[in-house]
Amino acid sequence: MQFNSIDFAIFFVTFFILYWTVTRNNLKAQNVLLLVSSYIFYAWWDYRFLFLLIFSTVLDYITGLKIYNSNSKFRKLWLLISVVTNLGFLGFFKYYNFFIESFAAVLNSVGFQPNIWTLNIILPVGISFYTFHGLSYVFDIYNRKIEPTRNFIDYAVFVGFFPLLVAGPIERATHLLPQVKVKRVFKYAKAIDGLRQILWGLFKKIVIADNCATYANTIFNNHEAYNGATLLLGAVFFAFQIYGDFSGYSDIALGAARLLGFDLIRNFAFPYFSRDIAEFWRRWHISLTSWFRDYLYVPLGGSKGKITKTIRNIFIIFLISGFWHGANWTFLVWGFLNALYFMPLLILGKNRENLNLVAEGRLLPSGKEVLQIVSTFLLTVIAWIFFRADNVGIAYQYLLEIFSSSLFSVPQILPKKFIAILFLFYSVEWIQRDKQHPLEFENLRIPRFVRWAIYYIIIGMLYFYSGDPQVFIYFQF
Amino acid sequence: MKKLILKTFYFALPLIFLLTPACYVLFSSKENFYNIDKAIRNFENQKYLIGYLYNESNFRYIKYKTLSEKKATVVALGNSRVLPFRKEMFEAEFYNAGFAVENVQDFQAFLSCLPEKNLPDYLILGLDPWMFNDAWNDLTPKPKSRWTKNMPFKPGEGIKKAKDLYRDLINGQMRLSKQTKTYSNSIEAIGLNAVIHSTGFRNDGSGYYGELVQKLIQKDTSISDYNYREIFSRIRNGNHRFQYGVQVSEKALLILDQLLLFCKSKGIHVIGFNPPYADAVYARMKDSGKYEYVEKLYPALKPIFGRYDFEIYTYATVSACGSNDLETTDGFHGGEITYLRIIIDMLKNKSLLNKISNLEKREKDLSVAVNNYVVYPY
Repeated sequence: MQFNSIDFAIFFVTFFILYWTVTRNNLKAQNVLLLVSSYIFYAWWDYRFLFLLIFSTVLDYITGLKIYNSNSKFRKLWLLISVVTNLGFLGFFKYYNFFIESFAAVLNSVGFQPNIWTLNIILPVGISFYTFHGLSYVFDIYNRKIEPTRNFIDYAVFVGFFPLLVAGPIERATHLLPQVKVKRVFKYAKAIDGLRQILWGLFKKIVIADNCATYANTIFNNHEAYNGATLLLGAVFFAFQIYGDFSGYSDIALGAARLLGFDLIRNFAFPYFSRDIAEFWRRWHISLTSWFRDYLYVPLGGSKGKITKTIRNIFIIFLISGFWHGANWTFLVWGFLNALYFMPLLILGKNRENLNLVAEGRLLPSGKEVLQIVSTFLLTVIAWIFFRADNVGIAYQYLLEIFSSSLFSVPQILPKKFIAILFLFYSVEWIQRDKQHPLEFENLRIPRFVRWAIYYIIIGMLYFYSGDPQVFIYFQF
Repeated sequence: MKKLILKTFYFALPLIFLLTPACYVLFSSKENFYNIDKAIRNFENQKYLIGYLYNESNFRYIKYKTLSEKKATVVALGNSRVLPFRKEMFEAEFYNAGFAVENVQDFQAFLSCLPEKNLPDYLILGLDPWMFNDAWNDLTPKPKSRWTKNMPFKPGEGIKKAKDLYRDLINGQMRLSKQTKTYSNSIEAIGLNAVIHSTGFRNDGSGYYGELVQKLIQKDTSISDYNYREIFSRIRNGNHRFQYGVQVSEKALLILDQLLLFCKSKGIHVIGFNPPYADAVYARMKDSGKYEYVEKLYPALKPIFGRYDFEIYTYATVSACGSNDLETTDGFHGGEITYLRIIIDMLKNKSLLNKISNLEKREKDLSVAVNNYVVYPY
């Protein structure tokens, strides 16, 4: 059940009505309904994997309690049980074939012909996300940041909350669990804002991402046939595809949660307006970046100590982040490149320079800011080529052609109308960059007829300018 | 809560108002919001003309579903260029699965979707030259859902298709008031192409081109490929299946080999053939000097078919089977008469099809053909 499907619309409307009518006055009923609906939502893909989700939930619920109630020796043991089991499942479903095939390739290269035994493993949707949910919970208990919840339903809702179950944002128990524990009260303004955010998310997904996907797929799948200019354009299309796809999903998740009275953590903050790569990573997939920061980077020593140690930590974080995305060398190279981009900022101590809003209080950016934004964007585009390509060799060929004289040719694919839409989309995001999402109209005093006209235009574009439907990219992670 | 529901309702009213007429047209023509399974289950009792305008991809499902429900002794499999084969051409249970495949890889993928017990005994394989041209081919594997997914009756699909209907009405490409009806009232039409243009598939899966045949007989110049102008333009531009090519695709030949191996293992006898172009079209292709692979194709196919004791026939042009340009429906589609001549030619060449088709009867059929394009009435 995808967020941009009729199935989900019917599911959500039915659930929404039940939630705010039948269970309105009872917290326990609200949470039970939430849990049952979340499990139905998940089982829609593949009911068999629902048991895996339930197992993971039960495991972290129990280990959370055990860690809290045990003495220091057993605390570590229970933590280990949780981490090993969670990562074991993740590793098996996500990385088993990758390791077996890579191992066989190494043996092949030294002359052995092993009989490799790979399995036709289906990746359970959302496993990377709910595993990280559960791990953050047990880590926080272990670090004595929170106390475990004794109410299993509350905990299961925290892990399985359907808006964020399959592709995040990766929530923290410190933020979401307290909201699960109090009765939600319907607030009109919050619900309306949720609807607006959903609308913008759908626009990003259906109009921007799905149309970009058509061009990006054509160009990436036949890259040998195109000149450098076309390939660069293809990579730019992919950059907008993945942004529209993933941030669109996050917007729908956040909006749906707001309709139910929840506030989820922000996952994207207009990353393509970043002035350097450090700022980009503070604005892109924020929930994952901060997860790695808190549970890996900081325990490794973070930026305390020698610069060499910090550099090592940065590389570890980015490589693991790349590997988290999938079992392919392309993701590792993507992570490595981002770590490399980060180095000059780190060594010069400029990685926390651009913490404020770009061009704050001004309509247009300065010349320097434009240069910074464009160069940062191009760096990310180069990294995205590795993310998108089927293998590292193809990405390398793709880059070689971009950096050839054919870069200065006329692109063979140039959808002018769509590029104009892309430019309009980018401009709207720029104007509203100080908001949570571009349709946040609070305090803007825009007359209702103008707001409604904007909504109708967006709906019209969703209807008449939708691209070929694509599965959300991050579902595969 | 009440305020939100009311506002959402007011907001949605204009949208509902806009969508309702188009949805009604799609519903009443059975283009959408209609489950085709109902018709497929009723094929024994009722004659249908199934012609989608906006849901062409669902034709693949119909072909799959029909063959999943009931075994046919002989099946014609290919794209639109096998559609003129009719059940009347055989003395055994026949089904035309034309339109179910696009490239050489789809053949086995389609057959693999069918229950093993329903696989045919004889398979007539339409092998188009472009299936062996790398400049056209997309040989990436397709999911089974390409054949097994029934889409148009889902409400969401209907709402999506409403925009195509509005687009065509606004562009003047379609007029709901202008309908050509060339079939009898006892036949139930499903889909806008069937309702408006009398075009679609019969129960046996063969193609029915009511409006086109009528226009061809009337020598109507509004036909898109009148005097092969459309196909000549494709040859000029090297596009839309007429991409230029020198070599026969090795990869496609390999896939074909695997298909034949699969058929052999399942006890299916394969009769392959290259469907013909109009004489004028083939001459234009040859003159261009850009379609070398077309001439190299038959010599490349022959040894592969020979390896499995299967039959392969080539009809580069319609005259190769005794037909002529006056019997073609466009530059690369022969009419029913052309395809009957192909069957006759195969039978004369001692094809195993002789077991399920009678040469004398086919020759008699030819002598009483309805017109230049059609042999048998509906």
